[in-house]
Amino acid sequence: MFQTPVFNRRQAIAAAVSIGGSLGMSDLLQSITAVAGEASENDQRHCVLLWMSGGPSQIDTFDMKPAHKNGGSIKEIATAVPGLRFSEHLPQLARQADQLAILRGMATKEGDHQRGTTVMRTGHIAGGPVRYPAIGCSLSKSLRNPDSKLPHYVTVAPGPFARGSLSPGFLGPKFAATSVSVSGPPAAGNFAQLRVDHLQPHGFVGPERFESRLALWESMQAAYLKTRNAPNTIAQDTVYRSAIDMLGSNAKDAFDLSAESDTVREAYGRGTFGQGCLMARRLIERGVPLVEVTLGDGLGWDTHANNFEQVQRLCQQLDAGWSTLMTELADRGLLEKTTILWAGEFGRTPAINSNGGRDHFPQAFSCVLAGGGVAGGQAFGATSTDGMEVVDGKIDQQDLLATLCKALGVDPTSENIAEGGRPIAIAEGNPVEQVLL
Amino acid sequence: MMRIVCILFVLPLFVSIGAVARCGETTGDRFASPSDRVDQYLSASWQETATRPSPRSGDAEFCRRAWLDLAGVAPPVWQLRRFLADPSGDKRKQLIESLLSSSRFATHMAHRWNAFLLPAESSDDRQGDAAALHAWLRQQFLNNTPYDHLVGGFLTAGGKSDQGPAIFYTSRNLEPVKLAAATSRLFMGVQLECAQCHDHPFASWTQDDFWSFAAFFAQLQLSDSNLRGGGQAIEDRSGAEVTFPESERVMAPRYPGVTSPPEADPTDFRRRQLTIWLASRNNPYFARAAANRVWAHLFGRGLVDPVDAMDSSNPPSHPELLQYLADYLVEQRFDLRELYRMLTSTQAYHRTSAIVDGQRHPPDSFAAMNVKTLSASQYFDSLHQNVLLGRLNASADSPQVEQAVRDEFLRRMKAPDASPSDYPHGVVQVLGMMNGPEMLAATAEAQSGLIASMDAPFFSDTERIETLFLACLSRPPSDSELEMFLAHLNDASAEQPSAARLSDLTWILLNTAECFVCP
Repeated sequence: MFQTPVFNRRQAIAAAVSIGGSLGMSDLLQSITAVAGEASENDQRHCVLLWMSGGPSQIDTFDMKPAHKNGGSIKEIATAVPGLRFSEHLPQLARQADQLAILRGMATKEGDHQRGTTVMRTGHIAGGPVRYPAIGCSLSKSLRNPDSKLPHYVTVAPGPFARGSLSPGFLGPKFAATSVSVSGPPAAGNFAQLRVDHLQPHGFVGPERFESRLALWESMQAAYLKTRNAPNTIAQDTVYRSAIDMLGSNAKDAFDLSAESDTVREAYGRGTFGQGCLMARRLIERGVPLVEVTLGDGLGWDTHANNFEQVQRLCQQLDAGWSTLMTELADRGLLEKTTILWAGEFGRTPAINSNGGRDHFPQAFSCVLAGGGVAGGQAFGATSTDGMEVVDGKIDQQDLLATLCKALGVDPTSENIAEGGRPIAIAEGNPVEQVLL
Repeated sequence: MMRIVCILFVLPLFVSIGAVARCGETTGDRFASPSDRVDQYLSASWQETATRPSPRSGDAEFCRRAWLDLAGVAPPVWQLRRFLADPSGDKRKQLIESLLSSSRFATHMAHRWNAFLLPAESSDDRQGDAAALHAWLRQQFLNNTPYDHLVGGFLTAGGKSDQGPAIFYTSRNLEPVKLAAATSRLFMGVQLECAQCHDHPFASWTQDDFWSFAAFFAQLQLSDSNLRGGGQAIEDRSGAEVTFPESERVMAPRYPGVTSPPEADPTDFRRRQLTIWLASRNNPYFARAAANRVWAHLFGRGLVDPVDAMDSSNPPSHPELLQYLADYLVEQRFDLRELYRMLTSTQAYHRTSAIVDGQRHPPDSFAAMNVKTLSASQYFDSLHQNVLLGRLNASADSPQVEQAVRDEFLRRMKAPDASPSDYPHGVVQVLGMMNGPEMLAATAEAQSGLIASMDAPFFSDTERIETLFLACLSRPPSDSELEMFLAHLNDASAEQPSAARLSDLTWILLNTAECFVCP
């Protein structure tokens, strides 16, 4: 099924009309104006963060070392870009290599999961006096459409680990990610079941009853705000209205993957990551600026033992979900407006340990940028033949985040105000101009 | 690499003590009627702008405010009814007295200080230690331990007998830098950590000051003893030192801004040395920071706001008043309860937060009360007490289940460092409020204690609605609200039974902006 943006706007208007009854005429007009505004601009940019929890192996994915004993047992294959080679377990991504820019010179100083995750997600070491926000929070704040009824930042199955690194920090909870969780293990052979907590009114409250509640709530709010129009009461009202808008709008539909055909769902892969990528496509179609999908619940990429079997299994999920997402976004004309970052907390040791595994390695690893604003079809930077060190194009997490910002058309030096009035730039590094369009 | 940009710093006192005292005034006069004095400072500040302060609040508004501020929970319905019906002229005073001397005051103060003392990102697996800290604090507030003694005890805590404060240290991994930063923020209202990386060009404090301050925490270690109750103990052992960054220079402990070294301690217990200076009446920052925090608690924002940024670029809204409160606290030998008693007796504390004639006073004028967003525990505990009637579920839950539900709610609504003048929650939290398990327990007719309790036939609909309002908003409904809610209860077109309609009304009230604030 092919959905044009026009169709989406019509859906939004229909949704606005259906809740107009409870929220009054002025709100209805406001909704329509907002929708019209979206239509005229239509320059909404999107970002997808593909988070590889546990630290993915660079040598077994995007920085192969076939000539060296550190290379291991996984073979490399040619891609659509002459000279650029990936792992044999990423065949579909190989065909789309013209969209990908591989950054092979990443290096940070954090080899601990928790601290490494904080460094990569916020750009800053953990534990300082400033509570730095996750990059997803800063970017969704910059990219958001204030009139949108959708959440600005959705994270699919973030897993239980290092939740603090997802925090909006000094930006405040208004910019926190809306989390989609997995409801129980999928029945054998079935699709992973994803859901947003508390998205449905209690079972005994039908739609009509909910609307009659809202109508009375509305008059109570209006009366109170007339006598107490303080910043906190106004903010409470605003956030409530966003949540109510979301309940009454087509935003909710984005989370309902059963609306997709089994063929499409299958193409993404049945697991949490694949279904999460499908949800990312549905959210982006509806205007959500930032979606994060995690692969490796817990620390799945932490392959201290049996690295090669585990990487193969993870790559199959990665390849299906990511490549189908790019194909479907491209079909809809959305890939050029969507920048994708693939990253984990660090890479893995080139040397293979006695358990056939690889250990933590922040000194030299790869990240990948793809899609909108990215000059694909290249590898930037290089590691030595044994993979032990960066020999060209060395960058750190701040450079990476600054590059991501620029690909999205966000000025990385734009500042947010932290506690105590300190201005803090979104990212402080030097953008890698070579991978930017 | 440190990338901290520090634009704020600390300058010494803004106003000297002498500037406030009038000519020929003795100390006794100065503290004779302190509440009036506070009101005079405020009214003097309004003259220039010809500000007309808001009128006195109604009894219901005041009762909700006093309970939430001092007991941490909305007034129970029967107490509120009794208060409203009480004809005596000094009933507000009596209410404050009874709240200040209740164990709820100690519990609420312990909640507040737990939140201040634990780092914003403290992990959830330290619940046991956080509970130990809470118990320790609660005991201090029950005893009304003078604030300087409380802080002194806190800063010298260790060993088995007072493991309560240990989490303050362990959650910061015993790191001297973090402890120095937290200690100066909490007890001096000063962000000394700004001097961690560089001297400030305009202030007298230097990087050396910061690192010598950090040296007081250099010798902390986890004790090996096995403690019962899951807490961890800490102790100071000679040996470890703090060195100046990127150098081998060992920093000797020294008080910030003081050139001479501290007097030697018989057992070289550095935290005790620190306490002698920090928690003393001669420390110019200590009493001011404490008084400012109490003011912020009651009035919704500090005289310096935020309360931990008392520096030259962030002057107090009422400098003389702040100095007076600090002096008063010292005069009262750091009796915090006495400061609460005095401030809750001011006219300022009794003003309404409602806007009169469409005019909204600036929040830092204190010409009207500021509405304060409830903390997660204030909201949950009020809901639990007044709507769930002490039980989540009519089919008898265990205390452990109740605690788990409360913890889950607090985790979801966690908003570290949120100011009461913000609404710190996002869409996820609001969805949880509207559709979450606590709201289910409060509004499912079969479960809700309040709705079930109103089933009795001798209640009229008007009485039922009035009870709902008292339980959720601590006030009776206005005539128009009563009319509106009666219409909903008696809506012939809807097919729900009356309990379902009461459930609707409960849900509506619990989700209003009014229910989220202390008026």
